[in-house]
Amino acid sequence: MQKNKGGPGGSRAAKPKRRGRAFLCGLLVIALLALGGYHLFSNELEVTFYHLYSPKIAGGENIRVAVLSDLHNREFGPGNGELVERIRALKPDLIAIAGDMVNADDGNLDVILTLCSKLTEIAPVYYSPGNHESNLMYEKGSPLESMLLEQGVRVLVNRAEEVTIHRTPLLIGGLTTSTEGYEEYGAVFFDEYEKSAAFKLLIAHYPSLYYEYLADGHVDLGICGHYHGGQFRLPVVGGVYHGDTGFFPKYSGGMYQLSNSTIFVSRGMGGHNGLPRINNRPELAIIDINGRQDTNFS
Amino acid sequence: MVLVCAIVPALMLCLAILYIMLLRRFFLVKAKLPVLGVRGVLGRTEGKRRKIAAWAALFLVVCLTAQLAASAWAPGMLMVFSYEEATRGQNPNVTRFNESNILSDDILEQVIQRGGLGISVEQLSKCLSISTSLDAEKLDVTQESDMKISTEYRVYCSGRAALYGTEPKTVLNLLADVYWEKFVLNYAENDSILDLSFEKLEGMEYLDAKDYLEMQANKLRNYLPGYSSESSSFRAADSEETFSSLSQKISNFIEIELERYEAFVLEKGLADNRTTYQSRMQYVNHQLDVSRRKEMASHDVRIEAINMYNAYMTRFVLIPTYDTDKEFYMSKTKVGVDYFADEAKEHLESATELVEKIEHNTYASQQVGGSHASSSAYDQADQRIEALKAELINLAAQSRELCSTYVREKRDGYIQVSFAAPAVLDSALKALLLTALFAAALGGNAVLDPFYREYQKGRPAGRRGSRVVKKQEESAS
Repeated sequence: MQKNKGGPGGSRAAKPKRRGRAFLCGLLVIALLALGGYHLFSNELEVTFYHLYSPKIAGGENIRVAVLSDLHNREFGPGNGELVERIRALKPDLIAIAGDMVNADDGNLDVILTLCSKLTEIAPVYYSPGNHESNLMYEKGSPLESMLLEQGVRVLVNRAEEVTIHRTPLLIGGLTTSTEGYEEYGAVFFDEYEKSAAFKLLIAHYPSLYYEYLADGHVDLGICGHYHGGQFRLPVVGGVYHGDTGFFPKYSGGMYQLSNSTIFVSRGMGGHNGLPRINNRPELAIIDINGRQDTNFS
Repeated sequence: MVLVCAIVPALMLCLAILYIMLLRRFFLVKAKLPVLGVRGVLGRTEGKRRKIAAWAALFLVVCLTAQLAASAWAPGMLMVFSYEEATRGQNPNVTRFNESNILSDDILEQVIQRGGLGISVEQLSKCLSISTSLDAEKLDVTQESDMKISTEYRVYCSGRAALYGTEPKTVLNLLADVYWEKFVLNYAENDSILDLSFEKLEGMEYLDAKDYLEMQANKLRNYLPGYSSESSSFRAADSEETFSSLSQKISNFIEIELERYEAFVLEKGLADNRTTYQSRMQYVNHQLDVSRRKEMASHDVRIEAINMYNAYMTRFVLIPTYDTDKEFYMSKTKVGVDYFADEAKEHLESATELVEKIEHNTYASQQVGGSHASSSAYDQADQRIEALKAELINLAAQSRELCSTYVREKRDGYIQVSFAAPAVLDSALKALLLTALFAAALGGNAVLDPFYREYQKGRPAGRRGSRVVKKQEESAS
């Protein structure tokens, strides 16, 4: 009885109504899927802001660090013009490059050299090579390091440079070695580096160094890359996978507080393995270091 | 996240529509509702109870999750002003604190610049709001006990900021940084005075260099007493210096080191250009002598006036009064002759100082004129200047170190900022309330549904129905 509630005329009229509703629902679902897909697979450059409190910052001025990593020869606009303009607008005091800006297998250096020539006009550029640069420089004999030095880039290969920004002395170091070669190539440098009383900014491509060797080290700000944000990012959980660590890398992207250090792991800006970045937009990170304290109020 | 933020308002809209439907149905079928058979009516919803419970559970989960996600994405920011003067409504430099500065156009413009945001000051201003915990209290400003000054401010950024390509938390973070920077530079201790410059020393005469270095040292010495009066014994953890010991060091620098240097230069009669220096001293002395004569004339006039005073007018009166410690004493009133005497004394002292300066300049000029100093003496003087500069720079660095340590420890960074964690309990209560309303609306609709169906069956055909009937009649004819 209930099915024939509208009578024969009523059921006939209800059919197109139901179809209309189904069509509207379908459209809504398609729109939501398109929106979600656009958001999840977006490859648009994202500027992320981080704040770091340090009692070592003199006076009231902010020190702004722009972090670039894992570009893998990708271009944002012709000659990376879009990227450069974004950085210029943000007026960083220094630019830290955490390696893997090139691809070891194609040997093309034009992208990074063009980019660095423009970046050096904005702020001093400190470049610590990653595994792709190391492969090019030490295995394929690429003159990348000397070419970068010609552009005015400070290439830091297991060494550090002192610089004073807004009256605050900084010791910017570059630790190029991976965990396997740390004891042989990096330990001596780091032991000496750690003793400095200046603000220590250490650019090391591999976050895995902080799993063990540098876990208790005294670094005011460690900057890393390499994990590409874990390729796919889940809300709350973070990065899902990287070849070196397997599933759910410990430090996949963002700021992490260790026992004596704070590290920032960049999600990077490109990729090399051909896998899409899901919910993981290319990141240009801006870290503001100042004397403004953050506390935990309820 | 903008979509997530829209979930709760969307659910509330659905709830409103449900209640409108419910009310409409109620007024349509109220005549058919049994007044005393409520139990029987509720019995009719038995088959739908599980369905209603399932919808309510889904509503609760979605509502709670959306609320928590939205509040985590757009948290409120608490700014706590943690310096002593804040409780008196003042900035650390004792100027008046102004709450409206936090969201001033100037600050917002810098926030936009710093974040490279694609938003205008006006639009950003509309996204931001500020409140204090005192806003909720009903205070009577005529009562002294109700006159409170807030040292905590809550700043909120609406989710609308996302429409301009940024996130509320990013905006608040940038705002906190910009305001903190501005606050420290404008209202807190400004130690730029400790940035000593020695550019003007280049090409300066040896004796003038002493005056210049003395001026720089005095800048340091005058900067410290402000801290010294607050906490003279304050000591940094890894340093032996206190404000008073540093102040003493600077005094020693002026009174011993600089005096030694001057004695050396005078003894040797050092000057880069003797003739120019001597003529300059001559001119300076001429000016000083004019001033001295003016001072002496002023002195003489006052002495003359005192002599002319009638003895009757110089009598004074003793008045019983209290001093600042509330101690009783007899105050002697001053009369005109006392003022004249004080002024005459001041003028005489000034004139004596000027005479000393003239004598010093004359001696220096004579020494320079009769000097036969070797080049090694000049080298020695240059070295001494460099050593004095280095010592002054070191004193400035120590002062800065001590002041910044003191400020850091005492002020706790002036402003402390925190972002509110999502209020789980509040969100849960709100979600439960909305769910109860939702379940009530569903239940009400379920109760009225059979009566509404009966009403629809029984009512005459509407416009569309009558049109169909008309068509059927036409086709039949």
